[in-house]
Amino acid sequence: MNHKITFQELVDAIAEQSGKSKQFTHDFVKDFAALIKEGLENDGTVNIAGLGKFELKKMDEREGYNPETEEKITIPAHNKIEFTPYKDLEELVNAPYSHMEPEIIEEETGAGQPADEEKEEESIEEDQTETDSPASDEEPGIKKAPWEEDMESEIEVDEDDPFGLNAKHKNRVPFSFDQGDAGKDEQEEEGPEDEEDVVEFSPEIAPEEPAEKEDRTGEQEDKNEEKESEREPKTTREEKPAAAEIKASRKSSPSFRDRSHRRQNTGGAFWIIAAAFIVLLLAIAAWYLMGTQQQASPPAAASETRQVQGEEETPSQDQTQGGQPEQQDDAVQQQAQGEAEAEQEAAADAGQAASTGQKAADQSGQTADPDAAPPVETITVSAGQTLWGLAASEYENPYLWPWIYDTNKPSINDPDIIYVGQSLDIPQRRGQNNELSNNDSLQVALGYVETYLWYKENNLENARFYLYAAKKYHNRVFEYTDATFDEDDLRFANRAQ
Amino acid sequence: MNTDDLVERLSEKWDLTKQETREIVDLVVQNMCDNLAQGNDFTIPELGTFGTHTRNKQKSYNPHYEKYMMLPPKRVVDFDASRNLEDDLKYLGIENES
Repeated sequence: MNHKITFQELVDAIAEQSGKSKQFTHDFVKDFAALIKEGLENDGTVNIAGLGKFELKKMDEREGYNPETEEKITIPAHNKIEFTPYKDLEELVNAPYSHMEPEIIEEETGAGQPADEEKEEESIEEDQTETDSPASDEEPGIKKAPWEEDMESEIEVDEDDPFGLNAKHKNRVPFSFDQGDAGKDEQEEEGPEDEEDVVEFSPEIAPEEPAEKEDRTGEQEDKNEEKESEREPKTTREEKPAAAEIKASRKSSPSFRDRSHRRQNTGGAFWIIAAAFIVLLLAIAAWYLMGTQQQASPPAAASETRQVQGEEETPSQDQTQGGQPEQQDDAVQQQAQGEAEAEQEAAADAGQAASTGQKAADQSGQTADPDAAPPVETITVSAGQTLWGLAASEYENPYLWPWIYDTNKPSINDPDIIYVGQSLDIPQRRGQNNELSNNDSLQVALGYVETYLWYKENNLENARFYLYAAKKYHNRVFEYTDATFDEDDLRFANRAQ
Repeated sequence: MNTDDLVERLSEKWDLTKQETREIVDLVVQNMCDNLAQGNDFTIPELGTFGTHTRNKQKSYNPHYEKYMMLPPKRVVDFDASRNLEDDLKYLGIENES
């Protein structure tokens, strides 16, 4: 019935996974078996974690019966080997039926109904015979058209088995007969969790859609009743109450079906809710990002500020850092959006910006040592690039981006916006082992000062963090610049060591 | 005897570390479980045949509820000890008594 795999196949699979030779695995598994035997001989029990427990069980002497000679014989006391699978393995194996629970049969509570019980047992036996040789009709007296037969098998689910258990039980059927039907039953009753089984049984394509079938169940019950009435006269008197009872129980049949469907539905609903929740989260995140963009114009810089802060003050700002790549990806969009803004700003602040820009240029010219003018590499900005990203790729440290900004001050209006096709001078760092030379860090600090000034000018809230960072990069940076700083910001920056 | 003992014996015999042996034993067990879960039968020589079969739904009496219950069908693990193993252990410990 089941697919049987040879020992060699098992060994090959294990060998492949363990990376050992097949011969080794073969001998190893044989040794494994031999040791289990030895353990049984010595202790009487062998407990293999994850698999189960082998146990030697002593059977007492008992009387037996030889069916050939029809004589009573005495079976001597002997040992029996029992295997009890671990709970995990049991559940794994029973997975196809794990969702089914025992059902109380209300009608059978009353005592003194031996006939009914017999009938019930009979029906179970009938089920068995049906599964063993399902080709034979349950009641040969009644001839049915093929399609009726098909229905009958579905009706059986309701009739003999008020709790719809029959559908499961029919899993055995597919091997011999009626594969399409059984596959269909499984599809209907068991849902996706049994897909594997369906595949394994290789059912023929179900002739009808499950949904259709469900629709039909209503009619079927009606027809079922008709049949019931047809059949009743043929049944014996004893069976009559049983039939009535079955009818009654059939009325309760939807309970199981409904439940199983509900389970499926709740499963689906759960995923839908989860998906909706995720989408909602994404929407909120997007909205938040847009909000910061409008508030602080280009978010790349805003978050950089936050990152500067996070790096140097509070290491717990992972979220903003996590958001960073997205923002970089959005850089092109921002450029497009920010272009108009930037132009306006540039126009509005033209005078001030120009003056500070000149000042800054002067400063950097003055403060730099004669040999300080760093070697410069000129690159052309391509789509999607940001100062942050450039610094990351050039210096492997994105926080050095103000250096690039400072070097290219005259051609960059807004440190958060660079344009495609713009050519930028990238100063080359001269420190060794990824350390900035003293001169370079001064340059970076001055870059931060410039950035601070620009941000301050545009009244962006995070400006002071740039001042803080400037101080951080070069302790005496303020001696090299004659720009005027806001006192509060200066106090804040001076906390940096 | 439990898995630790088994691993110890195997590691001695195959000259492996216990950890290595444990990994292989786990792999063996896992492979057996996977095959059983997929409904495959297999035989390990000198030990026996493992397999699964589906137990029919059955009616039983629950004394607590004082009601009959319909137990759902269940797929269970079979183990059929090999003839050699069975015969070797059949009268173990009983010969002494009788």
